[in-house]
Amino acid sequence: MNAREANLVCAIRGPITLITLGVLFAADHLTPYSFQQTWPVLLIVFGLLSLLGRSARPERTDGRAPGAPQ
Amino acid sequence: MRRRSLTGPILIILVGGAFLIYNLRPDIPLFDLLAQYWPFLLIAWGTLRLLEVLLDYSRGGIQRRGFGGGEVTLIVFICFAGWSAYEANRHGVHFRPAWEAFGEHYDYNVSGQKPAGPATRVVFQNDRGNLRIVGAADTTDIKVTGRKTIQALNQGEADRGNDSTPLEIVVQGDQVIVRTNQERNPTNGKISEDLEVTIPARMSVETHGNFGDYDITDLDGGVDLHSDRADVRLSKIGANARVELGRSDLVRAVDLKGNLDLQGKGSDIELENITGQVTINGTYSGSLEFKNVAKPLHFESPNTDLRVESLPGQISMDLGELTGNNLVGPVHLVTKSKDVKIENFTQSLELETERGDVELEPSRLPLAKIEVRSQSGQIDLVLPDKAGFQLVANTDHGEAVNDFGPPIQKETDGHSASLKGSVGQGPTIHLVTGRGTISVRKAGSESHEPDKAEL
Repeated sequence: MNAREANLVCAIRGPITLITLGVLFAADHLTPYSFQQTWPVLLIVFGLLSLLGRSARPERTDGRAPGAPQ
Repeated sequence: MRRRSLTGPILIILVGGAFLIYNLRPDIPLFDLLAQYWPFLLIAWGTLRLLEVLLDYSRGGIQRRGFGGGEVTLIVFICFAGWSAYEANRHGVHFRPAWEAFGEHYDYNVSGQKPAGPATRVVFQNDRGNLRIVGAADTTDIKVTGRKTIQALNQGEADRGNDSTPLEIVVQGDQVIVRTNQERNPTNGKISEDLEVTIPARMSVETHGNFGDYDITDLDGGVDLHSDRADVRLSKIGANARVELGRSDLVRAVDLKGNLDLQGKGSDIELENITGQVTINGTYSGSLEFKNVAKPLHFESPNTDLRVESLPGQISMDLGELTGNNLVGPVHLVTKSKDVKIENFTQSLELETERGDVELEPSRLPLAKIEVRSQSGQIDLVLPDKAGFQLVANTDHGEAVNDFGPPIQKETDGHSASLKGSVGQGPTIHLVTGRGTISVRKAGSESHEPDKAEL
């Protein structure tokens, strides 16, 4: 994985979260599954995106947090 | 250079489009639709941003990093506004935007009369407005009186609207059409007509409308109603009634001699003294009351499926609870999340629930065959003293309580408990719950708490 892919994962995080949020609200209004029931999906999506971000990020070599200012 | 996102301009276009639709087609309930479908705005927005990112990526560079502060604020605002709009809409509040208040309301009297002749059916085409229809045995005419309200900027515009939307009563074959021609209104303002109609009682009624309530009484003929949004009150109807509604706050039918077929979304339903079969299919969030239905009743919603063979007693239901008394079986009830309490039922009862407590009290002998399956919730069965039955009851995680003594054997194993045995001769009773206390009690005895020693 290189920095470019890490950037991609970082950049899609917002849109994916927004889409998930939209889908959950739509499900609430149009299907029997209410937001009170389905909100954990948001956590799952956050988790998956973080996992993806971690695997895409370059290995730490300099002891600094990845993405920290150089 | 950082390129600007497309989201802003597209949002502006969408907002403009919504206003345009509202101005050109005031009959479309745009704000009700927005209250329902706003989450798709979030989905579209997210998809758009995703596409932008992927496009950038395929071109070799990613410049945008997540959402800006302004965008997040807007998203939170949309969620908040959309959710409030949806909740308000669901509870019967309807949005009329502020600018609709511009202009005045002008009232006109409407009337018309025509002999029905041999026609057997009256068809009403009134887009907006309430309709009250009364059948009279001693008349041969269709008589309409009422009031038309036109919203317009001035008297001239209102007059023009009034002239181009005359009330017409037309005989066509075996039907009489009563139409208010509201779609012909050349101006932008809304027209609505509240009509009082007297028709020969022998005739049947068909209505088509967008918005407005129906109140129909004293008819020997049938009723066939279609509306996007209406409350319906039917009383003393001699034949079948079919009601299809986009949304309603109340559907009430009293003294109906035929079948009732109700479809749609809404809040409350009240049915009483129905001689025919009742079929209800839809989503209803309010309180439902069924009383005295002589033939099979079938209620089907996304969460509940209820069938009874007939209902000399009553059933009350809301989102969290169902109570019933005096049901003729076979009774079949599948529900997701409700507390269920049923007293007096015959033949057999089959009940399946995901969550919720079940309380059954058949007080007549011989007992009905009972089968209850619950994923989570206690099951409480109260039987007459002299009842005969064969019991198999099991809870995976909970207590078992038995009032009938030695004929019923209790077994416990870890968290699970079961009751098994026969008392006299009688039908099988099968109770299963995943989690919760199962108790089999005698009528008249105090509610039996599980022994503290067993806990």
